[in-house]
Amino acid sequence: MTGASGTVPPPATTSVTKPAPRCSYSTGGWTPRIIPQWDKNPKLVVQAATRDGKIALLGLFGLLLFVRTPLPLWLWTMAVLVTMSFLPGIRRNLLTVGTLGTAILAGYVKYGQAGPRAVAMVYGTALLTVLLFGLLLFTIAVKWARSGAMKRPVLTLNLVFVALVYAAAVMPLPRDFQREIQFTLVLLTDYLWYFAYSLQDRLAPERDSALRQLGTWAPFWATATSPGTPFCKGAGYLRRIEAKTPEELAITQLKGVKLLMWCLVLEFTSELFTKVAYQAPWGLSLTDLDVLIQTGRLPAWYLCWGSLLASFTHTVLSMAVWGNTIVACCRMAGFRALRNTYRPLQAASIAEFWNRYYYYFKELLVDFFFYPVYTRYFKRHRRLRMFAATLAAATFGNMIYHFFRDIDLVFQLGPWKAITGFRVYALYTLALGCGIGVSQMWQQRVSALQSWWGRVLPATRVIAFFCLLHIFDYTGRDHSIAQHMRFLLHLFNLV
Amino acid sequence: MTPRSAIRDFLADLLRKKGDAQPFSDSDSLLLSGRLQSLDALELIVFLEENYAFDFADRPFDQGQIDSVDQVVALLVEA
Repeated sequence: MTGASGTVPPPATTSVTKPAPRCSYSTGGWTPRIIPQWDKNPKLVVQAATRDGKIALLGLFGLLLFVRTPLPLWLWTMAVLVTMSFLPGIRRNLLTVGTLGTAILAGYVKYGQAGPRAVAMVYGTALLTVLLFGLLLFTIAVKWARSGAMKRPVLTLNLVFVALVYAAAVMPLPRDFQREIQFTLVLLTDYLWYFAYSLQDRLAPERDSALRQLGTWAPFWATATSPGTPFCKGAGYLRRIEAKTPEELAITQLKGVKLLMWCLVLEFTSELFTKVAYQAPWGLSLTDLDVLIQTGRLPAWYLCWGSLLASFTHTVLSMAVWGNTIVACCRMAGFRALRNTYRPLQAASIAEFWNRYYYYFKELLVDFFFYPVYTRYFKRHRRLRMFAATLAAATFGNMIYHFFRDIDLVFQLGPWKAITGFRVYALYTLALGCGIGVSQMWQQRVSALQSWWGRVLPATRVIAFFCLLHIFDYTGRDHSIAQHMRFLLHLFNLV
Repeated sequence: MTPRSAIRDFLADLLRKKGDAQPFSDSDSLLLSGRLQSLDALELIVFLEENYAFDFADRPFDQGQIDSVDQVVALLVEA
């Protein structure tokens, strides 16, 4: 994928003058570009830092964002971005205001059909409860940072959450009250990992205040579309990537506009691809992968390969569009965030694909599951240490994240069915964890001088692994493992 | 060799292995900027454990603590 950045482009740079390559090799030579490298043009950077330049950039960004955002949220987002661009000195305070406003608006956009009063009563109460819970938790974590429960605050947070969910699912409560509690807990899942990042920030010397932390909980660039995954991490990360000078801000905003343009190119490609792959009569008329697995009516094996490849390609494109739109907005706000998806199909190893495909989810797993295991256990056994930490993140953490994300299923199906029905995704995470673990132990760095063939072969192997694994990427609760295995075996004409 | 220069050499070596020959200052972000990745952070952790008997299990860990040469040195001094 050749996109908004160039041959060895950084998704974001450390300093204005030194580009930082995220990929481990260079493709060398001239690369055709769909979107020009405006951020590398010194005259344009100077122009973008002026009042007129900012207006032009914000205008262009607003036009591009308008295509993808509901009107009330678009208006609010643009108002926040304009204010942040012209008042960078109070950017973090504006972030809090913007985030709170978006949280309220998102409720009206999502549940508006229930009527404004119902939204205010149910959603408003739940939102207030969740935010107050977060503030209380952060205050306790700061005040009693060395106490037993706050030594491992994220573990404590997760245990408290599980206890609350279990109580809300099984305790005999008045029906309306129980529904309100369950709704609040479902909303809490959107904030859970943001709270975790705030808890991680509790011991930082330059720690942000509770109100500034609040601005990082589902920030305005992510609230409406990214339930659960912290884009772009927490307060500690935002402090480090905040643009400090007008020049940095100009470059960051130019990168934001470029990234959003690239997202629209990818979205157009994705829609075209969907038409070609699935539509009749002039398309390939492939059947949707989920339908094939669910019904069990499988066409010829080569058509199943077609459905699998189409579904995998569509998923990768959708991820790139969705995540990078959020990052583009974050950049416009003046934060030099890394891209969420960065050339995943060029990955030379399974671990590298994971790093390039869904960066902020991977970071969540690394921060809260990988490092705690890696820094504590199996220190004398290097490979075991790495493998255990990888399983903790890619398998255990991945399962926990998705189980919590869909916590409403616990209330709909009951705890036992929700847990046992999770078997397909559990198998997926186990295979993923083992794949990444093995890949990390035998990973070889890809040299800049390696031949074209030397780069294509590992990339093909990686794509094949993730493509086959994609069959089991199912977080619902009504499929059996046998249904997915049958599809897998049919691909090789074995059933 | 001082800890600062040893850490600097180690990080420069990690960057070189990735084909990144760009210069960097002691305060430059390396991990959070994307120049180094999680796997490189692990190599740095092992380097600090083996050469300075540093134990990360004693404290809450965050990638930001080892993001630059300055931060790694500060971590060693603090310990």
